[in-house]
Amino acid sequence: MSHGRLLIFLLLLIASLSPLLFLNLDKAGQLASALALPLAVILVALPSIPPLRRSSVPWRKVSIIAAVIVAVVGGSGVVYAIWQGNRDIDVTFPTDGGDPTWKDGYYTVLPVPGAPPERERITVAASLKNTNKTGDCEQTATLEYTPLIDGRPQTSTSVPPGQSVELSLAGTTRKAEVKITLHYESGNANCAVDLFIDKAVLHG
Amino acid sequence: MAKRLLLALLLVVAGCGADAQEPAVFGKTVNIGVSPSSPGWGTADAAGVRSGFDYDFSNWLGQHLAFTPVPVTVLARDREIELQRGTIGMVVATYSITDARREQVGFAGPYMLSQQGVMVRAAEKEKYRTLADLTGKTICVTSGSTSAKQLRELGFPVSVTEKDVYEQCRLALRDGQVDALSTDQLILYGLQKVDKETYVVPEIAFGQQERYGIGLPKGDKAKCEAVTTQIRTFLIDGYWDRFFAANLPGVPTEGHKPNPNRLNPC
Repeated sequence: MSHGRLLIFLLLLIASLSPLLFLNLDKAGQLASALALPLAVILVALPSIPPLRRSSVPWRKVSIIAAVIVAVVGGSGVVYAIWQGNRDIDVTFPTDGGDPTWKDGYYTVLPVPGAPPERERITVAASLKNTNKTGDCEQTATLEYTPLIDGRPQTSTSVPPGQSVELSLAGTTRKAEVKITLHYESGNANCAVDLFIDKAVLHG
Repeated sequence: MAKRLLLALLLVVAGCGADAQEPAVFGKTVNIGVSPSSPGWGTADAAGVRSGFDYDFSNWLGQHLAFTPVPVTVLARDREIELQRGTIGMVVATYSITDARREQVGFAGPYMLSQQGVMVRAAEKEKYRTLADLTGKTICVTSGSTSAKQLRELGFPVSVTEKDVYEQCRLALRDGQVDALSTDQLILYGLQKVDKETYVVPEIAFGQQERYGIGLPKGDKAKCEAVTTQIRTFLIDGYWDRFFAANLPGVPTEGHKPNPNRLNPC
């Protein structure tokens, strides 16, 4: 192998190892995908080594075909793993089966899946439905969202129903939860509503 | 040269001024849905002269939104359908904003807060101290109002008689056909003004908060936003207090004036 070819081989090998830096190597599928790329480079380079004895098998052709297959499979695996690691994750919260009717001051604590969750931020939106035929309750409330990181409450964000909030879950080591509290102004405290989670998405 | 520059500058300034004018969202005249008879809020005397908080407020809105208000009497039960038909352009008639009504019409507001109250015969006022004293009584309400629904949501038995207008309820109360009249406390205070043989029980206030809004055609965001802006001015600049004192003298304002920074979104 000439010096030029050796240099190209080394550069390709180093480049093909780069997915190892950002993939989750604890997962066997991602590790295999990441290792497939350097393997493909090695397969391409193999025919450049002079054979010890003559053979009737066309090793050069075989190794290139094998390298292409391994590269395609490995490359696809790496692309999938990157997408999987960065995509938004829709979250559904388990219902506790309790009283569905909410009044002023009621709250719920929603456990975010994953220990810790797979992303560092969550966007949540909730809306209200008046359970009575009277009252101006669906738009007049304030919903207070408080992230609980390993049980510790963080800074709250208050918004009207229907509006989404983005909360940071950074620093979670065990579990993350989102506490939602319903507030009405004092005169409107007789409202009774159902709360619906319209949106809950984990993202980076 | 300097004169030409000055002229050009004036034209630019004049042009900017014309662009800055808000486009009219209402026509020259607007049919306003008003209550048939609600003393203190909207009523006409024998000569046909109208008065009341809502009447004054609709005239004020007309001045500030450049339209001539034309009062059109609408029964409580017909307000949504008349707005949908377009026979009236807005409702200013102690019209409570509710989530259920919002499915049919739009609202700007609130401009007034109240709660359900009870009016009884003045001669019997000692009998009524708490809400439970109404158990088993016959109570008159107006058809299509939130009062009947609120009474049914109370959770204890009362007989409900429905009439078209509050005035009929007041007469039924005087004649002994019903034991009490229930509607928003502020409307009852208006009725009490014209009938000294009736009594509004101040201790009995119940149910949801009544938040009076301006009824508008559903989905007309431009009109809703224009009216909401004016309601905010109305609350902040002292007109609300002035109109309240003039139409409901002696009634405390506490708890009735909305927070101008917490008006409903359009």
